[in-house]
Amino acid sequence: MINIKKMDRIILAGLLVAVLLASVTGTSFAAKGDGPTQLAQFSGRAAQDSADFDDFDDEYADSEQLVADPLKYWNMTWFYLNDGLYHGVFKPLATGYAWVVPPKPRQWVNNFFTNLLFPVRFVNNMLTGKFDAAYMETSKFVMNTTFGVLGLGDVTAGRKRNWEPARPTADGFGQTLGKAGMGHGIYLVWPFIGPSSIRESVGWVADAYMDPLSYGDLTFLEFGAIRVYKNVNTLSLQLKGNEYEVLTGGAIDKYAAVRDAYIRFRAKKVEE
Amino acid sequence: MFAKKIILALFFLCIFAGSASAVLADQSPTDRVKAATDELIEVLSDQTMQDPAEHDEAISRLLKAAEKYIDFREVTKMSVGRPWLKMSPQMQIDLTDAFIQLLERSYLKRIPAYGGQNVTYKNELISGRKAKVLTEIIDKDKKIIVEFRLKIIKEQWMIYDIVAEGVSLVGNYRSQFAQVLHNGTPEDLLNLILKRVQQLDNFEIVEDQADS
Repeated sequence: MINIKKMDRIILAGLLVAVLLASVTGTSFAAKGDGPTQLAQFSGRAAQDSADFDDFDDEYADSEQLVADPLKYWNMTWFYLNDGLYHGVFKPLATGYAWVVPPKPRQWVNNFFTNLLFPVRFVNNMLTGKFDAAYMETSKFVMNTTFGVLGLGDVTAGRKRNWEPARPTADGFGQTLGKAGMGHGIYLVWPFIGPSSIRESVGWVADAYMDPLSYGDLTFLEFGAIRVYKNVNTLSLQLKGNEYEVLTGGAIDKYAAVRDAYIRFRAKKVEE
Repeated sequence: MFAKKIILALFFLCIFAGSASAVLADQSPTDRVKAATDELIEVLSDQTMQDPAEHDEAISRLLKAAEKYIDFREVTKMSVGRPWLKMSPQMQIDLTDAFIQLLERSYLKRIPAYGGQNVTYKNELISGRKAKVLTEIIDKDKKIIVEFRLKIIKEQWMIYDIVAEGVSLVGNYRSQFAQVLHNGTPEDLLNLILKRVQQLDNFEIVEDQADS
């Protein structure tokens, strides 16, 4: 027991050091865009096109490289492993599971896990000053844990509400760190977990401390099995046309497409 | 003399502003987005569209409807970025055609999912010849924010980008294309897109067979 705690602390300390390093070196990783290209002559259309780019470069200024990716080949290895696992193992598994188990119980399981992560959302709502969202989460948690039978039912969904929180609820400590002004550091892809960054990895570890599952008396294998089951269950509810498949389906470079989408999606989450 | 120049400038400004708003008066950006989603849903919900034998016909009808509202040349141009300026006109046409095929097979079919009944049109921002239409889609307890970007092309508001939850279609493709164009030629990019289209077509046949 003591050993595990010690390990935890070492991991946490290691991650903190990594964050510090990243925040120092992060600026030097910043992408260098090519200056505007000067062409000697323009035909009418080309001149119009060129003017458009001046205009649009403001809009899409950061599109070509959003995040530093010095570990690209390492990341790509895990990315393609995860992608292979998704198509070869988890999607067939979720399809078979969806064939056996009707949608209702699968929705209950999904509700249960969502309800279980209430502490993560509550604490991060408080940390980011979203008090209205924290209040909403609390009332949902109380209602769903009692009347929803341990969170299996979502009795609050679709109910008329007196008011809506001004902003969407927080989803983790990575977002809180982002709001505090911390950058991603570098892009990271973890095996089985997927796209992340130094900042989001730190957030993930912090959130794990608020995940009731971490305090269950579980072996590593049991913990992993529950995680896999949770994710397969979630996937079984979105088998057709989920975001990942739409995004990678139309991509000519899956890795770049997912990296871009991940960073932008996180940026939007931090913004709101 | 100086005052005269200012008056003249103001005069031209008024004419310019007047002509711009004359264009806007025709159909607002929000109306255009609404019309686009309505028409695409109509095409896609047609029963004959579900028949695998009619697949090619279905795709071409879908494209015809989409082209009225989406300027694909603009989408391609923006996704390619500045290297576009150095490409031959033929390459620009070929790339646009290939990119249309890719978008048809991946994203275009998804538009109806973003156009169901629970769409609320939140806001419309117009700045000169460009506009953003902000929509919110409510799916159970989840809110998805989708932003349509439009610009005036040939006197009409045309869609050139769709941003879902902060992820821009054009921006996403630009991040992919930039890598290819950095290491290779426009021909490489063209071949990569065509290869992907081919893969998607083969995959679709497999899926259709699995469904039936």
